[in-house]
Amino acid sequence: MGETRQEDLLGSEANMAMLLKERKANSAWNKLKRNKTAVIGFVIVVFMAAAAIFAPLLAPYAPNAINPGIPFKGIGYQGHLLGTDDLGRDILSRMIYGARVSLLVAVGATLVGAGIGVLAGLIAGYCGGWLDTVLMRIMDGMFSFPFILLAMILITVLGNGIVNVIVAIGIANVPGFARVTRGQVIVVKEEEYCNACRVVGVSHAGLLFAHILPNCVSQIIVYGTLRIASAIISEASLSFLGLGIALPTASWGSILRVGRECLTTAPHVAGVAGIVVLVTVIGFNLLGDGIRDVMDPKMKQ
Amino acid sequence: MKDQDVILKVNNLKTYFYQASGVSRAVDGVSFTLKQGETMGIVGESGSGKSVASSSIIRLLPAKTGRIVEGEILFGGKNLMSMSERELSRIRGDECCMIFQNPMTSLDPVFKIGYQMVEMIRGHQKISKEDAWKRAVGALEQVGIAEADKRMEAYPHELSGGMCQRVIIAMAVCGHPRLLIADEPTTALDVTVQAQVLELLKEVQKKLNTAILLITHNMGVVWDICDTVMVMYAGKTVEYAAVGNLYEEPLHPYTWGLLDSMPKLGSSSKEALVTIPGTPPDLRLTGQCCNFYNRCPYAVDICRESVPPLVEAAAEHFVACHRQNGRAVLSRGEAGRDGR
Amino acid sequence: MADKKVIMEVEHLSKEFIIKSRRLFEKNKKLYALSDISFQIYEGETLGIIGESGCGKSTLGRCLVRLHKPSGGTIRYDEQDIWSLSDQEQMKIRRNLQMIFQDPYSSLDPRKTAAYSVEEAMRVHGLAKDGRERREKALSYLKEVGLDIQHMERYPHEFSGGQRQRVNIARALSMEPRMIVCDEPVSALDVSIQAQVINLFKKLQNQHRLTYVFISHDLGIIKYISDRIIIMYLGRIVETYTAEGIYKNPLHPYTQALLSAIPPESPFEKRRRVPLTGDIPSPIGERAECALAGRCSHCMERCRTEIPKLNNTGDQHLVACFLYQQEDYR
Repeated sequence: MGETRQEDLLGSEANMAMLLKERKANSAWNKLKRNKTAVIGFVIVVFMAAAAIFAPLLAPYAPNAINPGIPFKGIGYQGHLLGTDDLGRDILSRMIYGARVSLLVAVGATLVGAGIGVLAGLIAGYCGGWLDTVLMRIMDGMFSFPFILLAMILITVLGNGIVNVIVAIGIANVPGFARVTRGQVIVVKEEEYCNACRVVGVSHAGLLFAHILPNCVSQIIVYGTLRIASAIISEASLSFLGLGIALPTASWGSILRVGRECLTTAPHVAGVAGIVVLVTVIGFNLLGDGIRDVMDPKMKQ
Repeated sequence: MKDQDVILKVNNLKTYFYQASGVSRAVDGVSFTLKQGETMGIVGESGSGKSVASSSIIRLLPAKTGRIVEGEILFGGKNLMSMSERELSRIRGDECCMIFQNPMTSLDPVFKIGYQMVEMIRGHQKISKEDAWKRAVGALEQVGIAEADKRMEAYPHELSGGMCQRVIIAMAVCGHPRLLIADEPTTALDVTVQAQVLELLKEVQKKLNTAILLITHNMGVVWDICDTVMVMYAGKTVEYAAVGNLYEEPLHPYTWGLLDSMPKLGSSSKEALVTIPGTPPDLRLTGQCCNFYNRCPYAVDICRESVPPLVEAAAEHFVACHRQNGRAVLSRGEAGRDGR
Repeated sequence: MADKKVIMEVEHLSKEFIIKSRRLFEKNKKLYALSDISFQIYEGETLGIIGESGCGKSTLGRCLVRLHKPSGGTIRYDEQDIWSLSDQEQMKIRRNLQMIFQDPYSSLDPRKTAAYSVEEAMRVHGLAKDGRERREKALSYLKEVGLDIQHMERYPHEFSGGQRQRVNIARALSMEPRMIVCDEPVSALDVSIQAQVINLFKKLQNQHRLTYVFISHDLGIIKYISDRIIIMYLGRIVETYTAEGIYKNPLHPYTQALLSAIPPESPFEKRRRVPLTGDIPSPIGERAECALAGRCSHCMERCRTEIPKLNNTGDQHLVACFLYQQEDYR
């Protein structure tokens, strides 16, 4: 043939290759990797989640194993890496199992809140009019009610226990999700592609769930991640007050409760629990911020 | 070409954007000279690099990703590339002013017009508030705004787009502008308002002997007020000539395509419009060959191998094309409609 | 033109928007977007609508496809009032009256692929037996507008402006409409791409026997593509005639000013500017005078007290101006 096949530098193959390269470089994972603080948050969250999931493998002792001979021993005492509490239970093991409870409650409560709140926000935002007013005034009412009081009432009515705590915190989360969703829906439903769908003849339900909801989801996810962080604190507060997870079940909040009583004599109990809660909350916050940056389709690096 | 007349000289300007997926060569070697009192148009479509070129000249680039990698920018003899940010800010707004595309968003919406103008004037000259106010009112009257002192108390959203653009031109006139860079100043305006604003620019130029660098995608605007014109494609200059010469004897195949694809008001022909097939290239792939070769009906092997240099093909008429190569070999319309 | 079938008839259409007052005790103001609009659209033609900002052309386009509910007047499609229909009839009409929007990016759902957007239209109207046939048809429509199979699974941000607009056109075509309202469909595109898309519009019109309502602010494009042109100003029609006719013999002072303000087509052209002083007035609040009063150099007493109606000056050349309604005219 004798023909030298020259590279078509600007042709469709080159363009396709560039498109794939761009897709890869801007994939959610890669975008997240570029954000240093988000990576830190991600690592923290994964670490805590792993602790929760693999608790039986990681905990050196059974979390409820009482050892009355060695109460309030300090950090590093005889194989108890983080010391013991008032009944001689190993704090490290209790913290690891506590992660299970706290994260389960936090994620569960957020999902409950999101499930109801997002639906309410979708309807209020899309329909507008009196339905919007009624729903939002209900949400305002829920917002203005102090959370602890709300939780107290619910726990008194429903009783202690993990499920009830999830429900209590979940209900407190509903108005926040409703507001965020409604705000997004109001913006998105005026976008031109919604008009285009209306002209095509897409039904109201079709428009709402196939087009509007997916375009609001990113904001909801970001909000949800931040709510998980605050739900951890809510659970800790409730258990601290004795309204949440009852002893002897280990949760970060119940450990804090014990720690408060022996703050002067054995500060490591409250100290450990407090620091762990702090770090986890920061982790979720950083991750949430990172996800927000990733989800913004206009931020291409 | 008397050197003391030249107000802006740009040599081989290259501005690249560094992205995760590659390097985008937004401006890849642009050179031109602009004389005092002259209007030069930079024409191109999206992705041609014309806006980035003008932002680069006054060094207004997004700091993180955009960088001027090469090139010399001489403004009145001074090299802008070697100036500090402080010296640059003294020149910007005074000797060299920029007018942007969207007049409504160029003004701060929370301050009155008068406040913004006075602030700008006092930022460059040491005069009192009262004197600055008087200068501002005078400038507004110069640009044809009636009841100027009342307008000083207005907020930007209370004015129409055309009015806002006049206010911005008035702000430019307050200083000692030797160069006005107008980046698509009339694209967002209605046709009748556009005509008024262009006339105003011409008046300002006559009075103050300002040079104007006008970036646009509308050839009509170029024919209207420009003296010379530079056509850009995919970051490079493809043709540069006096306006009359470009109209009568354009040399680059892209220029032919551009001029031919516009429907002419005077003709009643309903035949299909002549088009340039394909789309402009991705700026991360360019730089190795003629950027136009994949859409050019006259492309040959050398076009996809090396970058064509900008050569003087006729008197003060430059073109960057391997085949034209300084001798105007091809004639327009040889390839026929739709580039075939 | 008299024996051509009328596909759509607009009579005394008006549209007002209420501007909620921010201050206490101040009444809400009304924005008169459209006032007393009447015209007909003939089957198979391209009707151009041109005007500057605030003239109401976009609002008019949206009223024609049932996006805005008119405040007054009627719109009849195939002699049926499009606002007094049953649900089933509404869906049928939706198929026949489609729209291409100005911004090709925002008119596509950023989270859906090109194929999805086209298939959705067919799904909504039940135009295919099953998913496979829908997919095949979607591909054929995309190919008809100049795209190909590798574009099917791309997202809007992975297309160029011209390609996005082609996806919009494919979506509209997939419903086999009779009339398409094109709201500044090429204004957001580059000049060389505009030519490609306009050629596509013409080709499709011939192949599918479409009727177009083409809205734009660019007289060059409108003149090229339209058979007849309507000129709008501040919510009213000021002049209407054939495309050639309006260009050769503009009668209304606004049309003359508009034509003279167009940038020249060569550096040697000397155009005589017909000046219009001042700015476009606000559409808020009622007015009982000609919309151009105060800006027009021919302004008479009568112009400030009455609103001129459209008047036939011969050969269906309609003008709304008192200059041509004097007894001694013609």
